Amino acid sequence: MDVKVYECPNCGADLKFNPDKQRFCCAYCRGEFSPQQINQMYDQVKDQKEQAEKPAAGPMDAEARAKAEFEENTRLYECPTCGAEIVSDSNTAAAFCYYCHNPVILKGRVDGMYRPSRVLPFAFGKDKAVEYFNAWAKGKKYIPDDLVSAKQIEKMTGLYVPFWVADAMTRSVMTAKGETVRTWTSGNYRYTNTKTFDVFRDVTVEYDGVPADGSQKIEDSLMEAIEPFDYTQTKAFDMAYLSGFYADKFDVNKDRIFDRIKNRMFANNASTIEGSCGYDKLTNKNFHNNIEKLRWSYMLLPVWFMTFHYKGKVWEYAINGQTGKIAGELPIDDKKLNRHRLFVAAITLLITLAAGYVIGGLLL
Amino acid sequence: MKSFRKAAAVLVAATVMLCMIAMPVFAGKDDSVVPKNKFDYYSNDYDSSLYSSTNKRTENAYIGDEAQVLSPGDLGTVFEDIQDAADKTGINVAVFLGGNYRSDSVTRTFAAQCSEKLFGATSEVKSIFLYLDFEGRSSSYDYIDTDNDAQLYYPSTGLDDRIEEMVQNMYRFLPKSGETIYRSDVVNAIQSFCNDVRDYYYKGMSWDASYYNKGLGEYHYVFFGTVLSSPLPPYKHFFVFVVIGIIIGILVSISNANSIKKKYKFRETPNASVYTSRNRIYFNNVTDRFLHEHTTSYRMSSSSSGGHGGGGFSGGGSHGGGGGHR
Repeated sequence: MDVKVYECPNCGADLKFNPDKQRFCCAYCRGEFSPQQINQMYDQVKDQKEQAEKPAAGPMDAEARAKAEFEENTRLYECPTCGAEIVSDSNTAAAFCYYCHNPVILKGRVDGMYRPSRVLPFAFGKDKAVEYFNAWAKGKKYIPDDLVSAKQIEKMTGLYVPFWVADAMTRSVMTAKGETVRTWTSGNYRYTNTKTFDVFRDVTVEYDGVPADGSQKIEDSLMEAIEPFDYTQTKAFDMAYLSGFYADKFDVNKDRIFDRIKNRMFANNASTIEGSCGYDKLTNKNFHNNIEKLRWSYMLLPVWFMTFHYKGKVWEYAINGQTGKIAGELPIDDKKLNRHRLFVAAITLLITLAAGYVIGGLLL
Repeated sequence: MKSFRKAAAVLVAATVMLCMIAMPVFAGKDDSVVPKNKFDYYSNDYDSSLYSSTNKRTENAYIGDEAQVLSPGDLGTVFEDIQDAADKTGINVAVFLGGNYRSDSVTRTFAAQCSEKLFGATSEVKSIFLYLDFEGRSSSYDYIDTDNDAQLYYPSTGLDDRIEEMVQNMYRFLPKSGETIYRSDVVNAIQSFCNDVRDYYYKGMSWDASYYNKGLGEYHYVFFGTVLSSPLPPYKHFFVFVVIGIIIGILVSISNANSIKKKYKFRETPNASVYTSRNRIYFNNVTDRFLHEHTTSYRMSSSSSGGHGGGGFSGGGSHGGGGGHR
């Protein structure tokens, strides 16, 4: 199996994709190359190699070549501790599982069906991700000190998460009873007038890019919480973008996540319809929903991940690798919180006693 | 959470124990000190006892020598001291040297009733009445009666029993029953009493003094130098607020902690509306068919107007006091 290595044309060192500059950078000679330059370089090299090694082979179109390249150069391995399956380029010789931080091993080849159509490159590097996280977490007084320690922050890992993205045309029909209520006062009487209507709405709503992560190990709500992503910044998939990061292949098929996406869209349709009605009260609501058109894309989207082990629980944090939006639940140090509770209780007690003193004084 | 429950339990237990310890200190008297004596031989004879014997009197001071112990000169001397104590303290001061037999309970009644006869029976009057027993019985009974807020300066219960100290100070001069009484002893004892009246007044109200004012139907007690009144006995007054404070404190701290926990969760899923836009929403059919309408009404209750006048009443004072046997 061929191993693909992106080497610096100046000095031969490994090239890694730098999200801050959106270019491939060499850490040794500080050379920088755009993705187009890299592709050009490696296309030329590959052409020469193929010319030399396979003279009889006919010309391949770009898509077939790309597919063959993906099939030949990806490696799939499984973490022996948590079972997460990771795909990475061949530059990664050994790595820690992004999920449980244990060493992982190579397992085998990855089938071409796991090739994504698009990839959204990381917009910022690890330093910036750490900055976002610290700004978010450090202001919280009751978190354990270890959460923002240098040792913990070091564990932050950039991961390309597999997403199924749906473009859909949906149709929702609602029937309901609507009421308008008007009240007024005249003399000593209060009047209430209620008008009842039969309500019918038929709405078509088009959605673009509703995502759902295709990884079983990653919590769905965590990925939903860091949405949205701007898909206009995505690029045609190229293994080179994975250089310096981890990537995960999907292990949840689009059929299984379809319900999640569907429910989100239909819930939005319902709220759109109800919001447009203008009644004081809507009762006996019935909805009929349908997907009229559907198109799927499979993409790798960037996420900075960190997990924190505290009191027997794993606390997960995700940072949108494009927008910097953070999601997760911060653990609370019980000792700090209990000190705060006692302090609040004591202050309240003193205030109450002072009030009692004043009230007692007012009785004089 | 466990450690918080433990700490809260300790706090509550400590408060309950503190209140129970403080209870006798803060407790007001539930019953009047003056016993309800159905048979009172002297009940109609206070005036003759007060005025038939040798006496001197002003608006706020009195001395009566039923036992004829003092000479006129001595009487004048001690009366000056009594008058001075009354003027300086703003408390009516009376001394009666008893010469007729009165039992302990009758003595107490006599002291209380004479005090009211001399200075009035309203709840604003503050008086202290010293009864010295010179009848000559085997166990003489001396008694100090205090009226209304004078009880706060000269309490006879709790940790600061000033009446007891005043009595003991006098007993340094007074002979035991059966022994010869010298006029100078009596003068010294009265002067000691007057000194204590002034000294304790200057010292301020006793920190744990309280009494029940029957006329007003409320407890009066001292709280950091201020006289407070309450329908509840003092320990309950504080206890109620301590309990309320603890309950409110616990509720506030729990609510505060929960709001902190909520602020530490960041997992809100954005609405799917971010993946569409207004111009991609098409209302194919909008139909609203009127069915029916109805109107209901109810009569609003009229608010009552006017108020009621407050009422007040004043009644007799409340007595405290203490005494001792020689």
